[in-house]
Amino acid sequence: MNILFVLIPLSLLLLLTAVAAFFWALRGGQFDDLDSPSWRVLEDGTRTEEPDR
Amino acid sequence: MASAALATAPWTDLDQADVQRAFVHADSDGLATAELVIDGIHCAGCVRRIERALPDLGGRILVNAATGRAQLTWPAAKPLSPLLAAIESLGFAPRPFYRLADEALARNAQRQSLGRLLVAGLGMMQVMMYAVALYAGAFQGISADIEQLLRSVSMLVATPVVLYAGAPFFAAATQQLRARSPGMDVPVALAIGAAYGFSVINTLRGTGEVYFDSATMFVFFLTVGRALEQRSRNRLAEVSASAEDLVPRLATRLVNGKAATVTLEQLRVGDRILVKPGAVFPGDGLIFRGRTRVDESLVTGESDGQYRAESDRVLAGTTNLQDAVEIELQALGADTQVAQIGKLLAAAQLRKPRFVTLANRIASGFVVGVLSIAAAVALIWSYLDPSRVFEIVLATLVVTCPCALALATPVSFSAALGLLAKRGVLFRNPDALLAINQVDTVVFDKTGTLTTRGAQISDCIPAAGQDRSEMVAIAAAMEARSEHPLAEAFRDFPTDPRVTDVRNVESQGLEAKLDGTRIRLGRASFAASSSNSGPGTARGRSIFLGDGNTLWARFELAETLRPETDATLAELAKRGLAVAIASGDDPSNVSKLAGSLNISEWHGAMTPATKLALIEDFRSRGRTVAVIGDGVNDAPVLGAADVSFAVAEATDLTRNVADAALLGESLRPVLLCLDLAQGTRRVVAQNLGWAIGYNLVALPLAATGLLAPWAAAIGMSASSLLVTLNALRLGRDASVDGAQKTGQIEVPA
Repeated sequence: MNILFVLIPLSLLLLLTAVAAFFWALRGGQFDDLDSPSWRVLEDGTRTEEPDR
Repeated sequence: MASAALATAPWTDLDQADVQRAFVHADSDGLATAELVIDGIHCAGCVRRIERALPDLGGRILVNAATGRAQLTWPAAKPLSPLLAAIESLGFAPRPFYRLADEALARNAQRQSLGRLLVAGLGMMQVMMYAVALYAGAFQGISADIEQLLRSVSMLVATPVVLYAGAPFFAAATQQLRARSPGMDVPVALAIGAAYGFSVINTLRGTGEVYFDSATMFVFFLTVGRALEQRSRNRLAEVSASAEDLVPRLATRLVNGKAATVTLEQLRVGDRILVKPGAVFPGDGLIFRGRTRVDESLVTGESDGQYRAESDRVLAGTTNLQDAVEIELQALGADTQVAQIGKLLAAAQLRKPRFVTLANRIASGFVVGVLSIAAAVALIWSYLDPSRVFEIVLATLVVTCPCALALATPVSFSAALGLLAKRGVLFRNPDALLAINQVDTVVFDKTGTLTTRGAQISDCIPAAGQDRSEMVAIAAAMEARSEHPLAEAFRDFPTDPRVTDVRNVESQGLEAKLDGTRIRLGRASFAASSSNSGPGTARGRSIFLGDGNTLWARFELAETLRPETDATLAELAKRGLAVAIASGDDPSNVSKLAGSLNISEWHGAMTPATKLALIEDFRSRGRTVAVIGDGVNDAPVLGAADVSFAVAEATDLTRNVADAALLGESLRPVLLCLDLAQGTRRVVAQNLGWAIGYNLVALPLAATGLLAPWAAAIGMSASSLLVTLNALRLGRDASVDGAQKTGQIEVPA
């Protein structure tokens, strides 16, 4: 059972990674608009491209 | 309507660098991004149309369908106005968004709330898993060092959950204790703190039970409840326009006969400016040259153009409909009439009492009770068996923790408000939902609220010997070529091709030629000089067609009611609510409408101040008033009412003040609000009843040492789950088919 001394800290590391990833996404504004993306799925056709110069 | 006024302003104003500074920022690569708000978006289809229209013009736009906020990116070297005009031509009303600082604050608060939610969730799951291992160890045997490992990592993970995600509860509890009015947060903070603190001590001692799973679970549940509540509060878009935003940023100043374009900030009282047709007046002033018609709906709520000539007063925020005029500015910014309305509003809101919910009232008593019991228990057991004091006090605090109480209300609200949102009513203020239960009087504004904007021809009464359809065709032909506000009403009729040379005669109407004969459409005295009013007497609004001497026909204009208004008002009356109309319109028009809807109490010719006085009069007589309105002139009234609704086409100022917004065309959802308000009260009462009953049973068990803390924790979480599920029943569409037939849903009993 001593393997737990390795596995549990490892799982903590994974947890930290998950939390860090989430906060990165949060800061990047990915959670700011939770309503529009669900409607965008219904779009057909291409997404808008870069504007012309 | 504010957005209509701004939509007719020249877009080229917004191409100026001075003006763009406030809402545009430069990106890399020669692109710039403008922060906009687009009014009129109802669904994803609208967003798609806008987003698709722009790339052809060289721009790209990202729209948030829920709030109407948009970021428009385009090459900075090119002008912005064609893109805005394109959006307008699709039927929407874009405008610059200036409140970036406020928006940033709100966004950060929301992000923080989400961050806390996630930390609580992930932490709780992890700690629960460790707890399962510890429980298993307690039954099956576990070596001391593994047990200590598990305790330590539980503490490690639980600490950020309690201190970061749980911080709002501790902060609120401290604040409440300091203010000596303990609310729900005090026992919550106590329970979390006790469970966590006790467990930390045991971890450091290396022996005994730990309750990190309970602590993190409380925090998570409560954070979810809070997040749901905040989300329902933020649902209504906070993209308001203050009175300041309703005036244009640029003006044409006349100095010694020469015109120069200046920004709003550069204008001074006493300046003379030129205001072109379609433009909005930037300040209050007196006309010193020119005559025109002005749309003062912003201030008075009535959209018929008012004639203004030299030495007449015009108001900031109103729209010049017809001809260019030169005005001398008398008031700017905060001194304008429009800004005064904003002040009335702020004052009214301060005076409005907060609606205290039942749960809050129970909270104080509850807290005192719990603390006394816990203290008594501690005292008694310290005599009986000191070794068990800690665990018994913990069990007591945990079992009485009002998680159920603290969750019951937010979850009930969230479910009810979610259903209402699906049906087209957005609540900005959840407390208002319960306040609706006490409403006994409903006051409606008239134009724009009970009626939709725009006139309609209700009848044409020809003089003897004239043909009705011919009269209509002639009038339609004259109106087709004018910018008369009533031209709208004639649009769908066939026009008579013989009509030529239509011209506008100020204050009187239209004049034209029919096969060489002069014809006139407008006021009675203008259309026919004879005092005989001809075909019947006029009631309400009428315009007359004649040749200048004899009357040919009279057209009666009616306002179009919103769909289902009769049924809605009848139902309100049936439920025992008093209904009244308060309108800025002419009393004869108001009386006509009130009569057709069977409403006995109505008031006409009201100003914002008199409307406010009416509401306060009702309230001083002990009545609870709900108000439904649309214009800026309604904003103070909405602020003073116990419950307020804004209709979809309301100005932003109004929408931001109202407790709720009706998104659809019909007023029927108001009835749905009444139903759900009752349902919510019922569910909250049920939940409170359950929570209290559960506490009464569990508390003696815990206090007498019969309930281990882990059992208390399980009982508490089961109780919380039960209340949550009960509250979620509110969100269910019990009978969708039934709703479509009767317009009512069955609210779960």
